[in-house]
Amino acid sequence: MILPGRPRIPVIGRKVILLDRVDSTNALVKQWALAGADEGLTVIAREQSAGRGRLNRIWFSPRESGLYLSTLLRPALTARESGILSLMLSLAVAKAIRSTTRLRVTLKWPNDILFEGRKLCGILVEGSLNGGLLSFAVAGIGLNINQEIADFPLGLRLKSTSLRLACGRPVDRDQVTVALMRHLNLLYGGLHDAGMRHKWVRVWQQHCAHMHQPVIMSRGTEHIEGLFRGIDISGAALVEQETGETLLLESGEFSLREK
Amino acid sequence: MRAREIRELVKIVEESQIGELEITYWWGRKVRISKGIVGTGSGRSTGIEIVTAASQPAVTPLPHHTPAAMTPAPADNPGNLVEIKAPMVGTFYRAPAPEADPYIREGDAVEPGKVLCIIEAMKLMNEIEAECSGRIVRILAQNGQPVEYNQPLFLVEPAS
Repeated sequence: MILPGRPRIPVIGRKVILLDRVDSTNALVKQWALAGADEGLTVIAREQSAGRGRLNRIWFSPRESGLYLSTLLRPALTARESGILSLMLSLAVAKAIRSTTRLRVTLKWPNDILFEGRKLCGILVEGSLNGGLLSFAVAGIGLNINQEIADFPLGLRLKSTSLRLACGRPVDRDQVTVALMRHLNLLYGGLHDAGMRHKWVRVWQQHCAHMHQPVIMSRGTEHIEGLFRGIDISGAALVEQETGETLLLESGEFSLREK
Repeated sequence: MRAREIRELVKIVEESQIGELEITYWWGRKVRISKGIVGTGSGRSTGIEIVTAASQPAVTPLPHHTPAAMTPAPADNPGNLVEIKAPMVGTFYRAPAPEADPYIREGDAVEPGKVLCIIEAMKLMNEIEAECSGRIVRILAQNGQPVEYNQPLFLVEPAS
């Protein structure tokens, strides 16, 4: 009997490559993915010279103080289902942080990890679609661990934080890495389980930093305002407009509206 | 479910000792393929029965937001041009980064596997690959704009 896509043994980190320095862990894993690398291939770097986020925005990646990890996934997902990966990854990071530091982080749609409103972790997923199916996805995670406030560039100081700043003590990066791999595998194993996905939605909403708060979704020249009412089973945002109509929004520049 | 996927499942059942295969997807769709005996009399043969059913969703699906200006419309398609459509809802990007060159321009040749654009949903940047060879005649979506499922994105003149 063949069941599509459900891993029976831990797949993430079946092969781990540790690098001293790389331009971008995501770029490297993507290159290997195109060359046919197996699912689970994971690259961890001590430093990224060109760490990047969405739309090529720079992800500040100084030596030793952060965790820069990219992993190759080949889930049996259609294009329309692929957004669930963002949800899964943010939950895995939140759980790994909780289990190693006891910190309770909050989540900002779709997959930012915050502590007291400041960004602790960024996630970038790059997928490749062929014939409506995801042939692979590279999940990149950049987690600030031992940065001090002065380590951040001026422009990021008010917006960023690290586990060290949040806990008031240095945090063991290896311990966080091991916990992250464990939680990634646990969650990835439930990717095709409807019950698990409903649970993820519930947990995500419990950790959401902006439930029932006014938000704005900007897409091109269009700005949609409303109250954030949670997410649906695919991770899309539910935004209730003033008219009372609730929209399902999958993409856009998401921000919280000043009250 | 796509016909190709069903064909693959049928093949699996046909070539195996499995009598019946049932798959339930998380969104409720069910596919059952059973290998039985069909026909009567002496002309008995092995047949495949396929049943697909979608269970009632627990909640009524909400409307996907479609801005008026971007409502999918039949593209102006003269003759034998092929449309490449959006496989998902999201934001359409013609280039990997704001300052980068576009993946493809009108008039460019494409072949299967060539990246045409990115559609982003939930911070997942999905590269869309061409599935046929030909030449891009028109790009139908604007950079940075939301696109709907099945909205035509490119018009391609297939290679003869």
